[in-house]
Amino acid sequence: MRLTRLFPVICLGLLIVLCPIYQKKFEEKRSTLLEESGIGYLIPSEFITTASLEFKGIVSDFLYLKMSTYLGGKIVNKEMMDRSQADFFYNAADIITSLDPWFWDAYLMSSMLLAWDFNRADLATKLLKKATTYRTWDFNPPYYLGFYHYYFLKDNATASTYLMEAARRGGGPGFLIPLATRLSVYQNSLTPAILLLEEQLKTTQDPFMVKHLGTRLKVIITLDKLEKKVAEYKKRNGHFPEKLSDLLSDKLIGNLPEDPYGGKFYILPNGRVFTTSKLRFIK
Amino acid sequence: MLAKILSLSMLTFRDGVRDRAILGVGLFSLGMMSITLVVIGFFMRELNKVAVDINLSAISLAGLLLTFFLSINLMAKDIDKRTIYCVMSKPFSRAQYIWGKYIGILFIIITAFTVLTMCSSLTIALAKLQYANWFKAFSWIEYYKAIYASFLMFVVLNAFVILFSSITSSSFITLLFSISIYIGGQTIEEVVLYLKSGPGQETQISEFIREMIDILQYVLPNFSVFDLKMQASHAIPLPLDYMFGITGYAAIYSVVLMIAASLIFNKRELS
Repeated sequence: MRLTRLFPVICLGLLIVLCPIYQKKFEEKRSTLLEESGIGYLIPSEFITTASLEFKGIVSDFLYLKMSTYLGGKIVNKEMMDRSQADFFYNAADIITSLDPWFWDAYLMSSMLLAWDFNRADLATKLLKKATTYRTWDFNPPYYLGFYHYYFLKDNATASTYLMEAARRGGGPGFLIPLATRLSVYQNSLTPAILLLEEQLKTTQDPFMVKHLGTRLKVIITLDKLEKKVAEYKKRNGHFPEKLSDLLSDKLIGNLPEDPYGGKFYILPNGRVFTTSKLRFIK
Repeated sequence: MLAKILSLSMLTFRDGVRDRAILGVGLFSLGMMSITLVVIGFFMRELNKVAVDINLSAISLAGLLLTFFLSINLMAKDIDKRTIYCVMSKPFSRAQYIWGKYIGILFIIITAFTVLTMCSSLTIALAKLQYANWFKAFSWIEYYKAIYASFLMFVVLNAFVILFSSITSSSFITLLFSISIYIGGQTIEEVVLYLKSGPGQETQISEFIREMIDILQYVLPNFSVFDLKMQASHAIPLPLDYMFGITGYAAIYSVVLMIAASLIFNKRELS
């Protein structure tokens, strides 16, 4: 009698102990499966917008979260992303913004990723053009379009047009009009990138993104400072320095700066400074 | 006559709120709302959008669960347990019974919406307090407009439930038809717009199906007109005449359905 009463209790105790062990094993299997598949399947936007019924907003939030967690995992693990994934990210963002065409976070994160990490400013601008069409009251989409045309596509005329459009919409930072009108002054300068990243940092809440953008800003400020010192060196010596240590021996800099991405800064023959990390973490 | 309908609707309301399903639905929605405070922290800047999306979706989902699991049973239970004979033996007409049931169900939906709106307002106010800088593009007016529009959709959907319940005594068939009407009503606008668009014109669909969809868009209710969640989440202002327009649409649709339900129920053999 006593044994029959104890039996279910023993079973329950055993199950409580065994369940986490089983779950742990299962999680390993599941993570292997997830690693293999990534987030690599996409439901066509024509289908998903209809199938989401009246829950399009929350479905777009969920898909955005899925995309940003995947991306966050890659950045935290300092994994290099395959450039072929650019199309996947573009399509995912296109689906999210078909569900909610006013979803600025989705436009912004994907366009940043495509332009900075995949060097696909063409796809980034395509997304931002969609944002400009829908978010008619917002200065951000034309502002970013302007920046990407200037910085990545080297098209100052189009950049100026978009920055003017951003200024016309109102609500943006005060430097928009001077920046639009004086783009030629900033040719080959990192100033617009610094201004843009500073503005982004001011309006970003997510601590992870703050850290990510902060690192990028830090490197660009360093590049900007080094380029100014290189120009000063040329003024003194009549030629560009060959390596950064030349600036050190000329006492233009106190020490060689470190790249938080793990790369090494170097001077190009035209006096521009770049880094071997290409602003991506090197494992 | 109005007093009779009201007394029947109060009876339906009391019967409904006694059901434990309402407690489950309430707890589920409150749980969904409370996760708002945790989830919005994962987003970059549009925290107001995510908070509104979650809360409005929770309210809509609660409305759907109440309609599909409570409203349908309230009518079917009367016929199954034969309590309808007790009511019919009193000086009530069948039409009064149908209207009494419908208004009673609407009272339940109104009560549920009021409680959930209060809870969701509290959740959003807390989120707003926690992340004040990321709630600048938020409008309480647009938020409440979206809840009102969602309520109007349930006014029409529940009229369909009553119509189907007056046709069949099987709650399963009523459930099946009601879900079909809901899905059809939510998707018809999207399908029609797609077929009218460039890629839709090029899609190879038989003429018969195109004509069927043309007819269906006038038969099925267009539930998309009541979906203002996206506008609320981005604080996009909606003109008042649009709100009046959807109120009229819901009123006309429901009255037509209720008259049809009364006529059918009058002719129905209950024995």
